[in-house]
Amino acid sequence: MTELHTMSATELARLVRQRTLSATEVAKSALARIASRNAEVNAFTEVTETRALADAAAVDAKIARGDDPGMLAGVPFAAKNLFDITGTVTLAGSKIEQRRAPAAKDAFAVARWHEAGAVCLGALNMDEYAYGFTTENSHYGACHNPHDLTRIAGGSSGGSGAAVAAGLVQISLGTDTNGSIRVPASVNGIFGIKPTYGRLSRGGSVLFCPSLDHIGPFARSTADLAVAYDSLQGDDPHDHAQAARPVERVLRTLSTGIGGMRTARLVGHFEEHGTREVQNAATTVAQALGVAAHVELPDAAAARAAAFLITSAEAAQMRLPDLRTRPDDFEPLSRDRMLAGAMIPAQWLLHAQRVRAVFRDQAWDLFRNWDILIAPATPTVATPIGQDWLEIEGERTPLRPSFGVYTQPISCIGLPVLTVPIQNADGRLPVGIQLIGAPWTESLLFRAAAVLEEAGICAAPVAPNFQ
Amino acid sequence: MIDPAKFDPVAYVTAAAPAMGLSFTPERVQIVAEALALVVRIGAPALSYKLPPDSEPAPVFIP
Repeated sequence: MTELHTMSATELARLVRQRTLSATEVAKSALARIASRNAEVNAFTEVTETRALADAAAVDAKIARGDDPGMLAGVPFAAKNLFDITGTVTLAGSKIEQRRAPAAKDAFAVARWHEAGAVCLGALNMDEYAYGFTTENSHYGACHNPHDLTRIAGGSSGGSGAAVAAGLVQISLGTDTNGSIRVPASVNGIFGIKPTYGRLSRGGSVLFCPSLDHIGPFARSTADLAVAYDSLQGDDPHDHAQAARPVERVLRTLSTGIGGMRTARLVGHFEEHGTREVQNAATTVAQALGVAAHVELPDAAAARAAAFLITSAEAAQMRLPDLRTRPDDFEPLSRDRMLAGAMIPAQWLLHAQRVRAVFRDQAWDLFRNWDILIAPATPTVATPIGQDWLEIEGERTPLRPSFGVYTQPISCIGLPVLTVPIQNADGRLPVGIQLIGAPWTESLLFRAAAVLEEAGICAAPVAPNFQ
Repeated sequence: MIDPAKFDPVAYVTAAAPAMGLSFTPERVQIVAEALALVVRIGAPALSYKLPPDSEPAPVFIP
């Protein structure tokens, strides 16, 4: 039998449901793997062994009673450590939040996966308060990329990306404000979906920048991502940013192809600032999806700048009491950006929010003619841990804020994006490509990703050194 | 909206910090001013964007 850690979530759940494997066996195997391999990537900040074994035993008991254990029966998962997990302290990557009491209940998303039969193995490393693209966390250590341990795992959901790519769990939960699902999906070579703003509840998670915060799953196949995403849907009256939308499942239409879909490649801003390898990967995806045209969002740079200003101001405002009284307890890599954000005048912020609205209308015009837009997720493959500057085609920019150059304009207006992986993009390391849709069209993105997977263009096996 | 050539981040941070309830050492003023200068640099394409006069800010409060 294939080793459990390389199996897909859907295959594991099938074997558990038909009693070929017990959820307890799967959980013990995953815990042993985390014990032996996590130190290399530093993805987990806490392993919830007692809970995992109890959750797994409960799944096995359900099956023994003849009850439905759920679509994710026995599937190991972990969550970025800004999601509440009952009985653990929700750190949000910070030292400051260590003072919190342990969570009294699961975050909405964690509870949804638990109800679907998945088994929670713990909490995952991240940039402090989700402010970063590299997960070089000074409090809990840098997260390392399973494809090359000297390189970043991306951020801010770096632990979520590395844990899946290293085969420590089958699926994980992350958040995305400016690219924090899409960047780790890209550099770790896995699938990730940032749904439409307001689609999934953020209840029970530590907010970073509420007007831009999204949550979403990571996985190593489109089917796994679809089951994981479908399981997260549902109404949460406690998240007022959640839109009143019906549950719109994607699994049942996953294999229906892309007939009639109009696909275009985003150029202009989205072909500048990036390496040739990244652009080549976007070309590969575009050709496989039969791209009919190259199109532009002319104000993408302004939108990216607006997202940057909004994030700076909102993130600082959320943390202002601690910035006033204990600034030295913040992450040194983002503390000064946070303090600068506290200085942003209201006029700049409101101007940025108006730019955002104008850009939304511009994107809506484009989606009258197109269903899916294609663009790279990151300007480069994973960079070395500790690198401060990015130099591409003669342009030198500060690395940490620059990793979101292609993702920020899109999340700025809340569009759904599924990031698909191209392995060996530079001959060795993976990179992700964004499939971008109009609001509420996640099912189209899943169908396109499935076509790419079926064609062998996109795949996300466990990273070679971790197979 | 802002002329980066005329904007003095050190003077601005020094003046604005008390209004935000923040207290900085002279060394930290310099560091925060540098970070704010980067915010201005990256934010420039938005800050210089000519808005249609009737455009609304993006977030809409839903009671």
